[in-house]
Order: sequence, then structure tokens, then C-alpha cells
Amino acid sequence: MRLSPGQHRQLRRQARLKRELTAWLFLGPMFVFFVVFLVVPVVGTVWWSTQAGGIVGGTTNVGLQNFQRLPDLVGATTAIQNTLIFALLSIPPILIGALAISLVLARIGRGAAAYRFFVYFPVLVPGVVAGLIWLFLTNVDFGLFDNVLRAFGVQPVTWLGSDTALGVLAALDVWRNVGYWAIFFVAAIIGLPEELYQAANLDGASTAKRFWYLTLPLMRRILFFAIVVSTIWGLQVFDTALVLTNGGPGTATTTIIFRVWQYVFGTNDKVGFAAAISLVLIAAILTLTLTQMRLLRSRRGDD
Amino acid sequence: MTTTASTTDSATGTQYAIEILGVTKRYGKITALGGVDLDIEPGEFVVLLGPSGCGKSTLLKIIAGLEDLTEGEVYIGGKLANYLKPSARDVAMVFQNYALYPHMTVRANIGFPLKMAGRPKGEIEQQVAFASGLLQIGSELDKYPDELSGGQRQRVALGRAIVRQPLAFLMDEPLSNLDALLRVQMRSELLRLHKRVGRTTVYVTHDQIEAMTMADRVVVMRNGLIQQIGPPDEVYRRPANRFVASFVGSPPMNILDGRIETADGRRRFAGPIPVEIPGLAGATLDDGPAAIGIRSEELVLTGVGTAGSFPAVIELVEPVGADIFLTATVEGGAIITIRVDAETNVAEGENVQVSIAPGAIRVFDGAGDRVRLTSDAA
Amino acid sequence: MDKQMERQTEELANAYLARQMSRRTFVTRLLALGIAPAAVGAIVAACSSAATTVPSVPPAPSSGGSSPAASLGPQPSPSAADLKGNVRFLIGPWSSDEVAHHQHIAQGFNAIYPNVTFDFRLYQWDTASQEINTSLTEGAHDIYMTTESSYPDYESKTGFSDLTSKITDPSFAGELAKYQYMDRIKSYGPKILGLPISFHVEDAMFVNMDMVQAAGFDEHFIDSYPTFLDCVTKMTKKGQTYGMGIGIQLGGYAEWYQRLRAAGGSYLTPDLKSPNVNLPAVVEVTDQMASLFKLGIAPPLGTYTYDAAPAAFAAGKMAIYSSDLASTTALPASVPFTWKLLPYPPGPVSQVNFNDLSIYMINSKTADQDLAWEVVKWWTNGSSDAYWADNSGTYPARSDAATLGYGTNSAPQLAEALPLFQAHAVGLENFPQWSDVENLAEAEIQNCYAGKETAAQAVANVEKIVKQEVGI
Repeated sequence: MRLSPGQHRQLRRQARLKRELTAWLFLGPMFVFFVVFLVVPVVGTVWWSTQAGGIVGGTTNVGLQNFQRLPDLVGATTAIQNTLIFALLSIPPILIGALAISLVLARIGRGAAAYRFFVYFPVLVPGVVAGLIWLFLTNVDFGLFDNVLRAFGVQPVTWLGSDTALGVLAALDVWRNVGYWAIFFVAAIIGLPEELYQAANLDGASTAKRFWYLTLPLMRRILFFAIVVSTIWGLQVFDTALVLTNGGPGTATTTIIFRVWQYVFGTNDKVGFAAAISLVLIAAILTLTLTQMRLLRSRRGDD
Repeated sequence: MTTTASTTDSATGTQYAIEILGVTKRYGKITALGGVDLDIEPGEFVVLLGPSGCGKSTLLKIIAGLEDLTEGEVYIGGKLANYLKPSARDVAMVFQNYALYPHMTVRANIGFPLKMAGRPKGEIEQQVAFASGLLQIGSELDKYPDELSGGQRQRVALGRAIVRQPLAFLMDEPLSNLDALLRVQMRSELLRLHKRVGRTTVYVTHDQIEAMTMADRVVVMRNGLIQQIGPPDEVYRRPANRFVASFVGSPPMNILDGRIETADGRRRFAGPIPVEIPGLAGATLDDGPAAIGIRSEELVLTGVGTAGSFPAVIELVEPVGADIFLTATVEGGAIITIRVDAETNVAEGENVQVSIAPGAIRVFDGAGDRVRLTSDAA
Repeated sequence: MDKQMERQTEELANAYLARQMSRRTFVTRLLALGIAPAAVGAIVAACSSAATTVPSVPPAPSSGGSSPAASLGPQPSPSAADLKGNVRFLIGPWSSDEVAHHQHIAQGFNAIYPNVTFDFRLYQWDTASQEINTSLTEGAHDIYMTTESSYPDYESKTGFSDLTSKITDPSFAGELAKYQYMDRIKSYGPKILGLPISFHVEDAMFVNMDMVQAAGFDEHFIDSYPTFLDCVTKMTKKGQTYGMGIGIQLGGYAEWYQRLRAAGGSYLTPDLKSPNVNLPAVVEVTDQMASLFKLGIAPPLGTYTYDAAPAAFAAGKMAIYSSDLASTTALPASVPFTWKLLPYPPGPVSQVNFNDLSIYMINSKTADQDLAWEVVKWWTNGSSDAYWADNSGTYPARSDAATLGYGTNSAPQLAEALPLFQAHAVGLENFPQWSDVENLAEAEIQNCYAGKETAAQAVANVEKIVKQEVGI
């Protein structure tokens, strides 16, 4: 029996409806979460950025004034500088360290799970606790770091002093995040085809060359992901700065998000100001990420 | 066979391309290779044939240096290779999955071993051009592996092996990932290439047709042990044991179990079909369980009453182009395969009379080894 | 329990059983005798069961004069059964046993009102205003211990309950008179948001007097800046002892501010209309502070934290350290030298000591406001304040605390120094952004201490901060 075009249309519509209904059934919950936890806050932030006043009292619309006042803010440059320096100090060691650790971990057979746990352990430590641990490590009188220096007859260092605090903060971040990426990289390395390495081995590639010509390019995608994500995280450093140094000494570890926090929860109704800073930071991170994407995805084979 | 500790040269003094002496490989309690001896002549095309798990790939990897051996020695080009790293063994390998570097162009893939060896750019270019011309992939040089067909990838893998100009090629089931048509085509191309390049080749496969068509000598392996080494024809016609007989050839050799009995001073085989085995009398063989083997093409349909013939019922008729395979049941229930030419007119359920071509019967003793008959050719 | 206390207890019990005084008055007076809350609870329980088994003893004729109850506490109080519920506190971590101190006070309260339960949560000093504001918005707690520094801000908002009518109620007048510094609270605006509990000096000098003497000075070295500088210079022994530890107090809270005031400056002019920071004298005092770091007299910023400083002082690593009075509770039990609490030396214009009050306030979101009010009254009464201030290392706000046990547990140095601190006391300025300005300003000034900018630059930046934060 031949069906008319109209009948075909109707049947096709029914089939499609059924398929889409199923799709929405699965997507629905995710979509709700997306709206509630992402869209609403972002729209809220945009709204707040045009307001003066605080959470407790009322607010008034001030247009773009919050943004216009940002450049004059005392310490704005310092906060941006601190954040960028922090990112530069922490991200390369995190990724290079994670890569080095993962290369070793991927080769370990016996007790691999135990080693991986030890490497991953700092990741499980909440930022606040990590800050406290490092407070003890860096204590001038009884901290581990200065005790080691003393044992070697070196003058103890004021680790949380104004010149070194940001570096210590970066070191803490390396300590906390290196394991995270190491585990990612181990998984990637283990997933690389064994035959390629055998082939390269026969082709006369030394260990170093196999790393350079095979491992690195084959891990391109995950490395790229790690660079982007750790940059995003790095620019948002906050909790450890709060616990370890409270943004000090002076403003030595006052980062952008630290300023946002000061303004949001400070006594003095500057939520709109905080929202404006956040939006500028979001825009900056977005720009940076897109630039990284363009730079890193220059070659074919990465799509 | 002994060697003095001080020498790394081949013990036999003969200049084999590859010489394998008493090689064993154990993984804990599992024995992958149970003592393998094999000499490979320069320029020879040797196929390691066997079912999966027989140790053929392990043996190849041991030659390549990708696996350590437990005992024994491997000599390549007369030099002890046990302690040489893979790249120093002067062998090139072609992998089952080609193992092309996915992030490099064809050009870079082929040139990679030369680049690692620190050869000048000009020379690499020249070699790549030569190899790609030879393999007819000159126009694909700037593509990436994932843009190539299976056959093209195979050629790239070969190209990468060729540019090294090694003493020997090691190929690990290189055609198994290709579809049937391409496999046949690549098979003949590989052979042509072998003739042109003339290098010693050790080729691993589980496909007995590949082995029969390509090899100068076939090495049949099972459970980590060599079952038989010989030219394809010999392996086919004179299998060393029941395993080789049933593994080599398609369809496999008909094997019929029975007993050797001596009655009235005359030794005979008592089995499902009545047979006359001319050379049995003088063979070294005791009474007891035994089996006979007959190739399917050595069974012939005849008329009733032909001397030495026996009745059978056709169960299945399978035309395979030029031939027809007949599956038939004989008295007592044993099943045999008969190969007849396509013109033969038979039907399923038909009663036929079968006779055996002269000299076609091989006898296997109770342990499965072929018994040398006095009637066998020297 | 000595004889006299025993007799007094008996008298009180008789009066209570004779219905001459309320249960509340009875408990308050028992506590005033210095009886432990747990024991008070037992006595009250015993008397209550006696009261029910021995019904209606006729009231004894009054012995003339005012009844004892009239002189004690505000009168009509809810009966024990009326008050029930759970009261959630958000309080400062004054001492390491802070929660225990509050539980002690709660026990006394429960002796009268057994159906009330308590939760105590401590905030961190560094993040106090953030934690309080968040909790306030969420309605997470009922009663807050706040610092005066944020009071002008709270005054301008609605997060805390307006207690004006309760506090100015005539029935509370007798009690109200015993709260010192009420005028200061009233001065911030029309509303009264809470009752004070402590008068707290934020930046006192903890002085190792042995070292001062060894340097050839006595306690009068603080009478002028040059002698102070001379003394701390002489006490400094490189690699061994720093003469003067500053920048240790959390974020440098109020440390520079009191130098600003000593130099005749302030964040805003008295009319609160324009900044009053960038004065030559202010630059001068700022430079003086910075030079303590340059000369190696002060330990580099970051060397000692608020928590680690007392031990370092006790170990002789600092001859003087600047911190708030609560630091007295963190000093080891026996310090191997004589030490004193002293105010900062005078500045170009005056000698100044910054202090602020701690105040109990009620969340306006709290459902049972009356219960919270009863609790606040109890927590700020004479004996509670005496007990708490004594154990938490600060001065009580109640005038009757001294007679109700204050000084039995606190460092004797505290009482000794009180007149010095009262003599030159200044508080904060009455504008809502004061505490945010203070936080940002002290951080900016510390950049100057760290050598990142000159005193003049730092002071100019603080003036800019004032303008930005206040919006002028």
C-alpha cells in the first residue's frame, strides 16, 4: 500500500515528537540546574553590577557608575598584578610537575594505587585546611621550612613576608593541584597505544625523544584542557589567600577575587561594585581562554 | 649447542640472517615459548604460522627486542642481539595496527626513523620519495593517517620500515586488519616488494593461506613450540603431526581415528573405512590407537564395485567456485570432506561410492606424530 | 562555702520560700554571692520542690525598707515555664575556651529557665563582619556579639532588631544605669541595637619590663616618642630580639589608626563631609612606624601571626608586641619576666588609645524576640559580664562587674593598666563605612611598612580610599 505524502508527513511528525520528548526528559533536569545555578546567577550579577546598596538594605540603580569607578580604585592594579603573577608562578610548575609525576606513575606497576593516592591526597584537602597546614609549614620559629634551612645553617626566611607571600601562595597551589592533573595525565598516558611506543623504540627514538615526539603531541588535547582550566582556576585564587595571609601583608596577596569577597561581604554595601569586578574578571578570563584556544589549536589533528 | 662466554658471534659459524637458539619465554608460571630453535637464511621469507596464543608474536617481539627472553640466544646478522636495544638490532617492524604516528603526516611518519638517526634533511627527503614511489603513495605524503584508507596506511607502515634499509623486516599480522579483497591484493604486492628489496622477512600470521602463498619456509607453531619447519608444499603434503595436518589447508585434512592391529602376521589399520596402506608393513609402529589422514582432494567419487572403495552419504554440498566441498558420512558415523570439481553432479542425501587416491594416506601414531611409511618418497 | 556565705544563702532561700522574692532575683543573688551556677541550679531546684511540698507559707511581714527584690534586676520577668526554645549565638573567639565560658553563663540562665537551649558558634576575627553579615541575611543565628566598629553600618540598616523601646523602658532603668558606655552606643543614631559587654583596647603594648630596665629605662619610656624609639632601639638584638613587634594584630587592626588620631588626623572631618587624612603630621607618624621596619626594630611583616605572637613574646623574641587585650589569655601561665600593658607613646598632637565596645545584638529575623531579649539581659548582667570579661581578657562594660568577681582570673596587668587606657581613649568615627575604610587603610599602610611605597604615597592612598568608600 502506498502512503500519500500527507500521511508520510504525519507519521514523520509523530516519530520526531516522540524522539524529542525522550530527549527533553533526559535533558530537562540538567537544563533546570543550568538555569538555576548558572544563568540566574550570571543575570543576577549583571543586575547587581548596576546597583548601589547591599544585601541587607535596599538598592538603587546607578547605571554603569560601578564600572566607571573601577580604574580609580586604590589597589586595583595591585590586585590584578598579584593575580597574574600568581597565575604565572603557579600554573607552569603545576603542569610541568604533574607531567613529570604522571610519567613516573604511569610506569609503576606494583603499589600504583597507593602512590596515586599519595599524589592525589593534597587535592582532597579543603583549601582552608591546606592554608592551615601551610601556616604551620611556614612558621618562622617552628615551621618545617625554616627548620630545614636552619639545619643547613641558612638564615631562616619570613615565608609569609610581603616579598615571598605570593610565592608561598603559588607553591601551596602547586602542592594542591599538581596531583589533580597528574592523575589526569596518568590516565591519558596509560591510554596511549603501546604499539606506537614499540614502533618508535624500533625507529631509534630514545626515551627523551619518545616523550618529545610522541607523548607530548599525543597528549596535546588533555594538556590544552589542563592549561585552559588551570588558568581559569588560577585567576580565581581566593580561599587559600584568605586563610594563609588574609590578603597581606599589606596587599601583597590581595587577589581580584579577594577584593570581590571584601566588597560582597564587607560591612559596607558594595555588592554592585563586587559584581562589576566579577564581570570584568569573567570577561578577562573569557578573552584569555579564547586567545589560548586560538594559539594552542593552531594545527590540524586537534579538532 | 654451546657458546663460549666471550664471543657474541653465531655459534655455528654459518652466516644466518637470524639465528634463534633455545629461546624460552616465561611469564611467571605461564610458558609462552618452550625452547625454540630456528635459523633464517639471508633473503628468506619465513612465515610463523599458528593459532592465537601459540607464541608466534612473542617470538617476533623477542627478535625485535620489544620483549626480553627468559633463556636462549638470538643472533641477528651473526651478532648476539640479546642485549642490544631494539633500534640497534637492524630490524624494522610492521605492526598489525600499523602503529602510524597519528599526529604526523605520511611524510613525517616515513621519515621518522631517519630523523631519529640524525640523517640530513636532504637524504630523508630522498628516501621518503623513493619509498613512497615504490609503494605508490607519493601523492599522499602530506596527509595524516586518519585520512588514509586501510591499504594506504599499510603502505605507509611498510614505507617506514623500508627507509631504514634494515637487515630484516619483522611483520606482525600486517594484513589482518584489511578486508578480504585488499588482503589478497596486498599479499601479492608484499611478495613483489620482497622480491625487489630482497630482505630477510619474518612474517607472523594465523592465516594459513597467507603462509602457503607467501612463505619460502613455513614455521608452524603451537603452545610455544615449533611443530614443523618446511616449505609450504612440504608442510601441506607431509605434515609432521595431526596438528599441522588439521591446521594447514582448507578444508583441513580428513583425520579418521582407528587402531593398528596385527592379525595373521599382517599389520592393518582398523577404522571407519576399509583402507590399504602399502608402506605400513615396514613402518616403525606398534599396535594401538592411531589415525589416518587424507586430503579432501585425494578422495574421489567412483562407481560401485571399484576396488578399495567405500560407501558414503552426502550430507552437505558447498559450491566454492571452481570446486565443490562435499560433507559426507561413512558407515559408523565418521564425517569426511571431499573436494570435487564444479562440474560434478551430486545432491544432498545421495549415496555415493568413494575411493582414495594412491599414496594419499598419512598415518599418525597414538601421540599424533606422522609415521614414516616405507612407501614415502625420500 | 564559708560560714558567712552559708548564712546568706539560707536567708535568701527562706525569703524565696516565703515568696518575698522572685525566682529570678533569688538566682541572681545566689550568683552574686559567688556560688557556681551548677550549685545555684541545685539550690533552686531543692527550694522549688520544698515550695511545692510545703504549701503556701504566709508572707512574713516585711522587715521595713525596700524589699530585697526591688534592688535586684528588672522586675516583671516571665515565669520559667513561659520561656522555651533554642537560642543560637554567633560570637568572637576571644579565648581558647570561649564556648566553655558561654556555657557557664548558660548554666546560670538555665537554673531559672530550664527549657531554653543554646548553640554557640564562633566566627574568625579576620572574617567577622563577613560571617556576621551572611548569617544575618540567612537568619542563621539569633544573638550576635558585634564590635563597635561596624555599629554605624548596622545603625544604617535593618538587619538587627531595634531594642530602643526595651532598653529605654522605665522598668529597665535601674539596670541600664549599670551599663557603662551606653552614651557611646546612643551617639551613633536614633536606634539602640544592643547592650555592651566589653570595653576593649585594640592595640596595647605588651612590654617586657626586664628588657626595658636592661636598656636603662622604666615604664615612662612611653611618655615621648624619642625615648620610646631610643628604648626599642636599645632592646633590639639582631637575630635574637626585636624591640617592637607591630603589624601582628589581624590586618593591623586600628594600629595605624590610633597613630593617625595621635597626629591630629581622622578619616573624616567631624562633620563627616571631607577626608582628614593627608596631613604632614600623619605622614610623619607613618614614616616613624615604617622606619621601625627599616631599622630592623620591628620583625618583617609576616614573621609573627596574631596566634603565634604571644609565645614569641614569652620566649623573648620580641621586647614589646602590639596586640589587643585578649592576647593576655594566650600568654603562657608563667612568663619568665615582669611584663606590663602600656599604651602607645604620644604622637605629634596627642597620646591616643583606640578602643571599641563589644555589643550583644539580636537578629531581626529571630522569631522569639522576647526570649532573645531575656538572654541578652542575662549575658550582659553584672555577674555574667564579670565572669566572661575575666576569662576572655578584656575590660567588662558593667560597672558592677568589679564587685561580682572580675579580676579573679584575668592577668593583674589588665586592672593595673585600665586608668592609662581610659585616660586617652578614642573610639571610631560615626560613618557606616568606617570599618571597611579601616581594613583597606591598614593594608595600604602595611605596603609602606614593607617598603613598597613611601609614607606620603601610602597616606595619599588612604585619603583616596576614604573618598572612594564613603563616596565623596
